Amino acid sequence: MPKIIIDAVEYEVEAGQNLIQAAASVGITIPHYCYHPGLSVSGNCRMCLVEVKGPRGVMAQIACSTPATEGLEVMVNTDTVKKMRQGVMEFLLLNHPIDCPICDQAGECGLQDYYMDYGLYTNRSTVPKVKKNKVVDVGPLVMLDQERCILCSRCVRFCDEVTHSNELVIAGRGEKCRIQTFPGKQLDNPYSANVVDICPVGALTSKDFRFKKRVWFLSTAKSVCTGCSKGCNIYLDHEKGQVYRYRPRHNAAVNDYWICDEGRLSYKVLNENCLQEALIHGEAHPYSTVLERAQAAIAHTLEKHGKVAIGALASPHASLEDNFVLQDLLGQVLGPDQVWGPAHQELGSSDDFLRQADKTPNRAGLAFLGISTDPEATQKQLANPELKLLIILENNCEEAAFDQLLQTHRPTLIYLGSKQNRLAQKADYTLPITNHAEQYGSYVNSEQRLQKVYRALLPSGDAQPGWQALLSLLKPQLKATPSYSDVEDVWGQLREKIPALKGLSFYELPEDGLSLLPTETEVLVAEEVGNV
Amino acid sequence: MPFTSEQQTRFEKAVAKYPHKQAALLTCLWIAQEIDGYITTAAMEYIAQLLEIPPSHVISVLTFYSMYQTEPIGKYHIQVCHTLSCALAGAEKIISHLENRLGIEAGETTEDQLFTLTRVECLASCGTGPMCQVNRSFHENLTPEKIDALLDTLKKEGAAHGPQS
Repeated sequence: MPKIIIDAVEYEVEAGQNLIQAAASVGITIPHYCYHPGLSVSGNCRMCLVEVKGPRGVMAQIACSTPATEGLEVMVNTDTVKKMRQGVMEFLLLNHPIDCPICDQAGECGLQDYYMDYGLYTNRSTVPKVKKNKVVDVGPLVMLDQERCILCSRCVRFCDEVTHSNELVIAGRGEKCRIQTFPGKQLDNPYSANVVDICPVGALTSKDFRFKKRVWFLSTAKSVCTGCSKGCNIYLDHEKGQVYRYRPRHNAAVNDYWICDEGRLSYKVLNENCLQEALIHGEAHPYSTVLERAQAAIAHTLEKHGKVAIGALASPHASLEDNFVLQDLLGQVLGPDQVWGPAHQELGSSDDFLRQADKTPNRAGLAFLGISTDPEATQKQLANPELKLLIILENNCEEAAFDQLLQTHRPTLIYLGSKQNRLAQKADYTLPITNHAEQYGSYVNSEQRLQKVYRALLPSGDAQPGWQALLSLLKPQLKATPSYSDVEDVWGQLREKIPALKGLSFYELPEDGLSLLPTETEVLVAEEVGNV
Repeated sequence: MPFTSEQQTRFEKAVAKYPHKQAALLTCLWIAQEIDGYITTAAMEYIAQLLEIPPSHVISVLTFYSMYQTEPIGKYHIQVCHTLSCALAGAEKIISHLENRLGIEAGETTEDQLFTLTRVECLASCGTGPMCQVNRSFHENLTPEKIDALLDTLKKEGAAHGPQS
């Protein structure tokens, strides 16, 4: 590993990095605009100028295209460096409209941030600023303000290198330079809104988020997108119980720096139709009443028809913990064969980048728990006229399977869900549970990666985490009641039953998740054992 | 298809001269402008396809150069140099005389689509300023009288051949 010297202190850094990355890895920030770790190096903004000692003395060099090689000696904080940054800022702001009061980027803007450190504070320009288009409808999700743009070309490189769709270019020359699309074409690809995140200034803003909220009012929770089975890592930005946006969170093993537009906008379901009250046949009733009557229905069915008359549907939308508790508790009450997987597939558009055809976030989690994810097997179970009572966990199903079920024979339905959907209305007893923004939990993505979400919002109304609601529901039938008070207690059981999680607690689960696939050594050992 | 097969052959011949297709971009744009008088969106798309580059890259390149037109211009494009030597020799007087005679400002096109007047930077004829370039020919040591004579000739010629295709 090369040793480099930054401001007279020697650091050991990883090989193959540029100076910005190397400095960042030891906690030193070098200001930059055009450099983005997920894109090629363009070197046009000049903000990362630092002083580098070379054979011809100390020279100014841009850190983004300077490899951090053995013996490199740099100064990142001298007066000269500060002066250079000040000069760069002066040029970048020469034609910048400084319309921060009406700019959505205010509060998370590279220009604002670095101006605090390197601003000139006295305007030396006497000529009027160059006017450009302020409201360019550049795509279905993105608005462009050409005046605010500093021409860093991050968005251009994103379209060229990540989506390969080449929509955006820098057109013109000199002060007339601006970002634009081909005449009649739009920035319209499944990942288009990522350009908003990578824009270091307010030039590209999200149509969905524009003028909705000042960013400094937002709180942020680390979470995972539940739009499909990819499980892209996100930041969930919220205020006062309302979610305002998802932003991608870097995870090299899953989504890198990006998320798809579909997933980005899937935050909206968290604000809509949240189930807040317990229902009986679609009518709101006190939680305790519904709970008691649902418990009575279970007891009655058990007594009259036996264990085989009751079934439960696990959910690819619910967390691993919810499904585990469903499987565990009902397994104790009914035996392991009465917990079934989802009755249908939920498929949508996909590509070979991030978007997966399976639009459920935790189908792999069910398989991991040993619950069958074959819809046909479940449909066969549901068609059995001996089925008298069905417990359904979180289900978006608006589809045929249930309609058929309800036509031919009608078991009593107990539904635990977070949405005010058709099933919540039709079920005999409906208990509200929390959604993924309202609880701690974990999900297994299509690549067998276990990832956790943090609670961002307080539960709406009477909603409880699914595992908690299940525990209350089944309490009368359990010989020994497990004492779950938080998700960590559930994990206590989880790691006992699942060898892969041995010695791991929910809070110790890494931020970027844990691959449940066997490691190379494990595969090799298994092969060795097989050979012997 | 914006071009006839004869015109397409012109493009293809130009492309064949370069080791990489992409290198023929400026030449192709020039040919398109010669054919149509300006570079149409359809021409940009044709060139992009021919050179196997995204259409957006074509517009990025062509907007960098001031001599490519993306809007229809007059049949005669009068480009008057206003850089130092010509300016000292009286370019501004020539420009305002042209503006008066044509009834337009620099940067505009006359209503009959005959003349477009543009201010440009040095055309490399500093010894003979003030000067202008009309389409591909130079007119040097200009005076208001010379301008009048030039405009009369061009008007006659323009009327005889009809408007630009």
